[in-house]
Amino acid sequence: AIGARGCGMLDCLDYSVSRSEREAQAHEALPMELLNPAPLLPNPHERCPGMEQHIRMVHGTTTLAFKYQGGVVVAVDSRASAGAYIASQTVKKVIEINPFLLGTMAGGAADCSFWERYLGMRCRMFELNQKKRISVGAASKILSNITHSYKGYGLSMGTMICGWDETGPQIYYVDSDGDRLHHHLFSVGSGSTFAYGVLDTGYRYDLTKDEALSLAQRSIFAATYRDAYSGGTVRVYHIDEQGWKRISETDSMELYYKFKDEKMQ
Amino acid sequence: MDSCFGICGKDWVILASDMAVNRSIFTLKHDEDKIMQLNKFKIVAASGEQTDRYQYCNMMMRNLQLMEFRTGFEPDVESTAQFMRTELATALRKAPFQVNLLIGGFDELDGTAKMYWMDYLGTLQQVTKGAHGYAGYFVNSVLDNNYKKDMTLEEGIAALQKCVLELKTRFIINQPTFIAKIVTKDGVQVMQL
Repeated sequence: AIGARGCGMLDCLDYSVSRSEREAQAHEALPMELLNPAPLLPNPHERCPGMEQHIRMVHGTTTLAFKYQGGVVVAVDSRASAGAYIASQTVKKVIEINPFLLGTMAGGAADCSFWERYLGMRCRMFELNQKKRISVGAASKILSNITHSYKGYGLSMGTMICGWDETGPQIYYVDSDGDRLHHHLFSVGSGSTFAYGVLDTGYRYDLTKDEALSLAQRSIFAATYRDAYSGGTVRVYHIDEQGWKRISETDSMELYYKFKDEKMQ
Repeated sequence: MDSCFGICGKDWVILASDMAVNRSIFTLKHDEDKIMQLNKFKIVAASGEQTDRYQYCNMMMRNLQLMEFRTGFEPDVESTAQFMRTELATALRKAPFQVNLLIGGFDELDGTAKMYWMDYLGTLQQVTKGAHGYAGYFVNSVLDNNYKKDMTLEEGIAALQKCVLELKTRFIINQPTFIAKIVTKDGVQVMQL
């Protein structure tokens, strides 16, 4: 899973040793586990050490989407991590719901891909029933109603539903808490703070298409550079009136050297 | 962490709330409208988790619309508040809504405005001024000092502006924008505080 939280399931039942002692033991155990090259499967008898208890960074990824005068730009990284192990560098985090709607993936890969495929089915049913394409707001509402009804059952997803409908370009952020927000700019994932840094400083509504695509690429790259749980290839999509189009897939290492050379000149 | 507060006069009521949606350490958006208009003369300012806030207020709005279709008229403020309280209390032991509300409205029948304070457990009380969340700690005293019986709408707006200033001065959370909705005999008006 992307950004997996291997939590100790039985720690609430164990009253034998004091909690702080157990946590200390878990921290000592960590370095040996890191040296193990095999994937870390969550051991139900172990605690979840450290970070996740203090900062709720559930989504080990970076995705972003923003609206500008020419449409919507969506950019994602492609790393999947299980604790300190990089499970994959080639994950497709943009889910193509239909030719006019894109969904991004952050959180649990299974949750995102399953429910967004289900959303694709519901959108098609809408088209068949109503004889017109579904709006982005309605599609995101279908998804948010599902996540609201499963609230508390352990779904983990932070997704942005982006598209172009009769009202123009739209982005809705939907997450597993049942939240649904409409705005012109979002970044989701553990690396989102780093992406926001570049995005907020460079964003204007009247960017040209090239400027917007370059800004999106730079923002994801900035996140892959600083965040350990983001990396791999940076994929950029563009949505306009005709639908979505995949613009580029660049390895983040290539981007590093490209930006480094630009700085040198 | 949402701030919402309001003040009620003889024939007007103003509800105000901040417009930030915060998530862990950052702000996702600065222009969220947390005051929902239920029908022509009623508004509700909600504070709490976004999903519960939206789902609950939306459900109330649609149910009230349905009641209006069935009966032919808008229920008055007291009935609306009691209906909302019943729904919240029924859901409390099954799937609770984590929302605190301020319900404000104007009764056409007697020409008075009313405001109700409701918390997530279903406590309902008619008030002339109130606040929810951390804002209450800062703003209740300001409202107490600036409230007088039969104050005018302009005095009410001035009082709320003093509240906003106090929050910007002392509250640790950055809330740059506040929206206010006013209900009078002419319906609902929106303004930025």
